[in-house]
Amino acid sequence: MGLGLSLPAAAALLAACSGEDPEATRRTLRFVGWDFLPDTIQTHLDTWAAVSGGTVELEVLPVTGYPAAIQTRFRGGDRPDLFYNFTYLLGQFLENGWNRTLNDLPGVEERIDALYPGARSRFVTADGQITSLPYFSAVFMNHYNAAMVEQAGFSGPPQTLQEYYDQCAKIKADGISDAPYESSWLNERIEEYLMATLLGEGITPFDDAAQPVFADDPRSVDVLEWWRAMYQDGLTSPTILTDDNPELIGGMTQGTFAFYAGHDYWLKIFNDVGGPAAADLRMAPMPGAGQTLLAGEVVQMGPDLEGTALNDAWDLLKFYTGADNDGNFTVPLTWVEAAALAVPYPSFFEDPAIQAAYPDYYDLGVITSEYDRAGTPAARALSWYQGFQVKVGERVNDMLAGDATPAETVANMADDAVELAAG
Amino acid sequence: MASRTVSRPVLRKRAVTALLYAALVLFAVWVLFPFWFLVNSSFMTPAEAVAVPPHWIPEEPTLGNYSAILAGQVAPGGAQVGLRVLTALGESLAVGILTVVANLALGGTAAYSMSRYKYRGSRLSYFAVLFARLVPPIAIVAAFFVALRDLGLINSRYGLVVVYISFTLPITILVLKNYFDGLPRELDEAALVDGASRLQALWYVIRPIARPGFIAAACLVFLESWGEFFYALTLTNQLTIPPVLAGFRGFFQFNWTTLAAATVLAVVPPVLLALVFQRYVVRGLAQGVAK
Amino acid sequence: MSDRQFGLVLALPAIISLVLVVGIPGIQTLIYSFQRVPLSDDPATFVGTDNYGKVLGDESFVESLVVTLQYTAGYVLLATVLGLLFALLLDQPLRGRGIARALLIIPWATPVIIAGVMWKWLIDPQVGGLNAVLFEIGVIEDYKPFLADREWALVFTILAAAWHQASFSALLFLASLQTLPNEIVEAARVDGATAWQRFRGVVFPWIRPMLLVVVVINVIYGVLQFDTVWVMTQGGPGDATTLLPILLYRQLFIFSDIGAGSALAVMLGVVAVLVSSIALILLGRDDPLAA
Repeated sequence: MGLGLSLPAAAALLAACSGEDPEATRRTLRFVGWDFLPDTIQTHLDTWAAVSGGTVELEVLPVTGYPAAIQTRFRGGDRPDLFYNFTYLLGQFLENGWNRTLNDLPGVEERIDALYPGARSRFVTADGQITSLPYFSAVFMNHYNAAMVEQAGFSGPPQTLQEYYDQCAKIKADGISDAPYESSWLNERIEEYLMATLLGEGITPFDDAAQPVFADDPRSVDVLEWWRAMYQDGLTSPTILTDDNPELIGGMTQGTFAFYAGHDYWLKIFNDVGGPAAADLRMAPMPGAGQTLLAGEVVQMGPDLEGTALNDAWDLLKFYTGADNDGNFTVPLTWVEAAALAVPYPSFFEDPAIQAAYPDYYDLGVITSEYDRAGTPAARALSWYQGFQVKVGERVNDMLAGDATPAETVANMADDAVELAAG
Repeated sequence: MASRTVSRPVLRKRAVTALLYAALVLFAVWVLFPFWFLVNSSFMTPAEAVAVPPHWIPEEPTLGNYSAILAGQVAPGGAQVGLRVLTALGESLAVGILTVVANLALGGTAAYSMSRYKYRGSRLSYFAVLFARLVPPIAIVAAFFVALRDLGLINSRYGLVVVYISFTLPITILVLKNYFDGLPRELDEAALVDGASRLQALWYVIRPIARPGFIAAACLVFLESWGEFFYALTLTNQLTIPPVLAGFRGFFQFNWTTLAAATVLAVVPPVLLALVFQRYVVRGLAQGVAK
Repeated sequence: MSDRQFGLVLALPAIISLVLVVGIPGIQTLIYSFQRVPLSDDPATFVGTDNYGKVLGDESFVESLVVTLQYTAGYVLLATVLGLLFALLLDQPLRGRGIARALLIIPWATPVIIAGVMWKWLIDPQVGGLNAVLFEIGVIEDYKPFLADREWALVFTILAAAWHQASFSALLFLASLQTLPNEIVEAARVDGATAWQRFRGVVFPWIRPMLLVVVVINVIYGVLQFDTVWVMTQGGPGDATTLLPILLYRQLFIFSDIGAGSALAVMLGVVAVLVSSIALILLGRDDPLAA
């Protein structure tokens, strides 16, 4: 940042000069998270408090409705000090001044530099503002039923979209599964599947100026052709447009579906729930030789921190989102153990404790090689992008319903992006 | 059997009775068929809950979901339930009762006034009451948040009660006005002739007779507040039961069976309350007729 | 104090409460609908009817309006008719009536958001029980993926919400039926009136004011329906169940356009008023609220 002295250090210095007790600016921090293992969150906060001497209070909200709840709080002037957030809200929060950027905090550069290169754009905007650090991350993977794939006469999971289609068609034709392909194409998740597939094919969705250059790449139409064919030829779960967590878990563990494309932590859920097909489920890279879509959510810092409170919040944020002062991934370790959630640092996967915590059926070699080629379009962190997600849902649905061709859909989505970006 | 002749009206009556019982069975199916799957799942392990085809009764029943909730253990699906469900049930009960009390006090007097007295704007205020229910919560939640924050009532049962009055009071007034309209005016008039004041007439004559109406309104209001999700989501930190239940729908775990058990527990208190109050409804009616 | 003044004083606490908790936020919404409202601390600016133009100019508005009207029609019909039938049934002196009335509470004590989750599970072609039952009794020949179909998705999002709401209607009707003096019905019976004649001639006129109240409330709940549909389909498949409140949610929490969201909220209120009025006219009374 070019400043010799970071802001908290300056504040501490100022406090020292004026003879003021640094404890004077210390206060109880407020931490807002969503309802996943709230007792563990509390334990982590207690651990941090015991080590640092600071104090922090936890507030938990349900995931269902979290976006509405957290936005209502900020709109009403209620600004917690540290909070979980969805990546797609990052742009809007930054624009509204609802989060404090981290650029001036000591050691933040090391944190950012330690990330997988492809993960950087999640946490750093195009103009260099550091908005957040990772709560967890995941890579988009292709989960498949090895027994079904083998039974249909294939030696392994599909490597290309064409193979993906062919395998599904064969599995259906052979009567192995009526609905080989499952995903969660709920309206607001369709955009994620679009990005994962575009990136997989090596298509650049947006350029550095966030222009929708996917429209200039003829392969984008091919991707949508594939998408439409999968759906219209009956190779997908019939309810794929509304399927959610329970439906797809049952379908995979019971052997109804052969494939599930989604985040890499699903394999653990399938195994934890169990079922006749659970032992046959494996994970492979998504078809296509391009990039893997990086997913995950973040922790952010509220805008009202200063002095010792800021130091405390920064200390806690570092502790919560990566390695602690002793170099141990104390907090992320518990998320691995509970749900195979990662944080996107190579050092995380190199940590023996982390490696031991992953279940045996996870091939960390495959996962880390996916992280090596993982990325996410920087445009996804812009404030207009949320609206684009809605539009993509509408456009793809129109195409699947036969109301628009793939070529029209690509053009329409590009127009939507330009229009929304213009405001 | 053949020697015994049954008159046509008796036959008819039996047929009607049989039809009514058949209808009662259909009614029970309507209520219980969807609910059965919830109860069923609540005694299952996650693996069994997603079995294809579904099991009609648990083959390996487990109390794990309930013991997790009642004893604060980790649920079979991995959710850390703690005692949150029980605490939230207590808060829901408190919010419900306070909302009912506020509604009966405010709405009872207003409905009686609208039923019995004509004053400038009485029609208008009745319309206004109706329109009050038209405002979508999503649109006005921000205003509530700011107001409650200024009052220090975020994440407070009292804050929720204030907000819940916004959508329950119109219903209370509609229902009670309708009820008062059905009570003969001669009752109040007789009391007034006997020398009672207008307030005394309301309190000593109308209130006891109108008890079934009050109970019905109380039931309505209690259950509306019991199941309310959006305000509880945005104005509290999972204070009442609906947001806690919603919390079991997570990304990283399968907690359907725990959600099922918690929902079953959440349905018990209102049903018990309704059973208790039913006796009062009947007694209230009997008193009304006796006068 | 004159009767007029007394009536006003009785109604005043309720009216003041409603002005505070609904009137002020409602008027604020109305003002916002003519403004551009930044989320930062900058002041809002007056933009005339731009927000309304924006909302009406969006093609998804008209589609959503049609879906909302279809949804509301189905929901009101189902929730009201079933509620009336349940109330008439549970008003009969049948054995097990007490238990049946307790059952009535169950759907309604199930928070709507959970009712949605439950129904989605129930109708799933793999893990759900509805397909299995329909298959066993021979109604369907194959398991049907109901939510894959636009029409069925609408039907089942209606069913899930009406399952909850029919109990609400039933309780209101029951409250009204309980005030119906037994002698009137008996007199009709002695006169030889058939069950249908007694219903048409005595019971229906008695509960008719309540019917109007129930219809109005159900219309409002139908037009404002959000939770159930959101957890079942997020408005899908495609836009098959994208009700206006879902558009409202998107305006306020995804596009973060408070102005356009407020305009949409106002129009939602207008839709509810219009639909209520149409329903009341269809019921043969253009001014139901006349005292």
